[in-house]
Amino acid sequence: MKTQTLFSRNSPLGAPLKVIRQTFSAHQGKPARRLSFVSGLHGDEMEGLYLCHRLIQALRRIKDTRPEEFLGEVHVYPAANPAALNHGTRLWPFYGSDMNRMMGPHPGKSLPVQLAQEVFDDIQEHSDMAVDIHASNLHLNELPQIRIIEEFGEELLPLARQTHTGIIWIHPMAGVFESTLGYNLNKLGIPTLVIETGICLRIEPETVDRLFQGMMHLLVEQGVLASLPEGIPPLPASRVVYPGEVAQACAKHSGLFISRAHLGQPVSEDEIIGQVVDPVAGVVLEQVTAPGAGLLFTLREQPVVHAGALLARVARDLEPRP
Amino acid sequence: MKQEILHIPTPFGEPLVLYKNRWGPLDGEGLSIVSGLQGDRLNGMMVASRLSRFLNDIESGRETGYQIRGNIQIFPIVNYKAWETGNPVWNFDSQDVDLTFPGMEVGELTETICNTVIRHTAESDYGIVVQSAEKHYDDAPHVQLIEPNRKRRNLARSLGLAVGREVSENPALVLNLAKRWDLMGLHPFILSAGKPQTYQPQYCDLLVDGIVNFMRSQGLLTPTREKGSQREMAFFDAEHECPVLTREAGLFYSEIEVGTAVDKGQKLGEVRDLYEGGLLEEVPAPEKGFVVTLREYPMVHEQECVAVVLRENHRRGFWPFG
Repeated sequence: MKTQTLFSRNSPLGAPLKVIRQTFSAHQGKPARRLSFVSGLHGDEMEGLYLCHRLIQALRRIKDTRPEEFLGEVHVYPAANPAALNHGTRLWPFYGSDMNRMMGPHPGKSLPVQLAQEVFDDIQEHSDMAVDIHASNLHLNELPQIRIIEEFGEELLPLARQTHTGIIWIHPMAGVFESTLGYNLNKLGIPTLVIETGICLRIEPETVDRLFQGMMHLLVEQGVLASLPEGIPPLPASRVVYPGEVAQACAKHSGLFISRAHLGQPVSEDEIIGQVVDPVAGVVLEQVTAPGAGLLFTLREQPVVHAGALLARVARDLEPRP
Repeated sequence: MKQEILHIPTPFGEPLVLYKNRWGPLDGEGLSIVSGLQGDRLNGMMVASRLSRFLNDIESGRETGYQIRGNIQIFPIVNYKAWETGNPVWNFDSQDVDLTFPGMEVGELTETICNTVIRHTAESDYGIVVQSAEKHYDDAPHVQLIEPNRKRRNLARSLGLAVGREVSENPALVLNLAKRWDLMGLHPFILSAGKPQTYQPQYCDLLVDGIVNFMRSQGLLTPTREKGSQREMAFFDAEHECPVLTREAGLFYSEIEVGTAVDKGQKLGEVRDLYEGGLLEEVPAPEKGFVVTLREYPMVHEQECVAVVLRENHRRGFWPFG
């Protein structure tokens, strides 16, 4: 494994600000394929860091014992936004900058822009394919899923299936994606899968273990590794969810959302999944029901809600439930 | 007159109510003025308040000699929750309001607020955002233009500020209020002056006068202003902006004022070591030009932007800084 610093700026306090890339090169000659994993663009999303740890740990073991397994090259960027990670905040706190809204051509020269551009350029230079790993924000808990913008669906769906991630959600384009890492790499012809899983500031080891296994499958399917390492089991196929198949429940009132459901459970249409209550008056403002029959793959964790807030998403059943 | 535009109950107490002020005939040419997109930009809010008082005085007859002919709206505060905290963004969602437009009719609170502003300004002909520099910086009063064609540059001249500046294209711009206005067919202008967390009366005087000039020039207020009495404005394309970066990390001591003309090589400031105070570098102006932005916060990393100089030799229009 080769450790390289792709971005470094001295700080007035002493320790420099650095972004590191870990590289596992091909055993012989030109790599068959170069695959990059990126995490930590938002400094409060921890699941990706642990997934990178699992990947680096496993790849180091393979490199040490069976280096001939590396037909291609793997790059891991475990902590792409160290200034935010050091403080456990989504944004780079000193500037209040969101690193995943600064990707693509950007004219500015602020430090966050410099970092975003140098990380972006480095990934572009070293990758034939990339995986950008995110946890959810403070509010929502998500089942592990790969999100694909509709316009990239044809190219990315076969690649996403190779990860065996539970859900692959193909969703419409929105303006908010235009400045993200995933969108801009895809626009440049570097297929990039975006993972969303869990909730920020938490790590669910079992979930990450499963994602790790999926990423090992991807490395083999992409010809980066010759074979699956010992202990990686076959995995079930992903469920692909298309835009019309997602139903949302939003709060009609402001209050506290008290969940009565569990992420990942099947729900029936109109089944009660929680309540919005008024903590001051002691009254129940509304019963929250499932917006359709299907799999509950997004569920509100932060209980404080204003009217209109997203509470749950359901991937609708394609066949009526018996 | 003060009108409620959004009323959302909150989980724990009084409802969140957003207001706009509106004057003049509904079928008149429309101008929308928005401030308070970030919770720490005081100059914009003060300008909005003073303009409201002026327009109220005209309407009530206390201010004689003017008549309101246009449909004028002022939105003094948009990011209500951030204003409560005094921070640029609301910590609950870490969402920069000016990266959230057009928002959603039913969505999280910040999205709903943005959508409300969009709906209420959609019928206007002109839009003006009033703001200060970004966190840690100080801006000389100037107007920023999106897609600055001849008509918009002429309109901008009537704002009476000495400097106009093109807003660079970048992928996140589509989430910006001014860009949204541009896409909706309004002529958008961003007025920036001063620094966050500070009320600077001399800058607010300039901006208030400028906006009143604009209203008179466009016939939103009568008597209209003579075209010939418009001030000259130096206009700078985006590619003629020169960010000034430090070479060393340390404490930046500025030796100039923002809004001054500088010669190429002129000392802008110096960087000194935090621990021992020794001189690390002198920071020169890279070009002859106008210092439109200057670093306020002294702690700087290596390659940190401490100033933006608008290069003189590519100016368009009269150079008023000799």
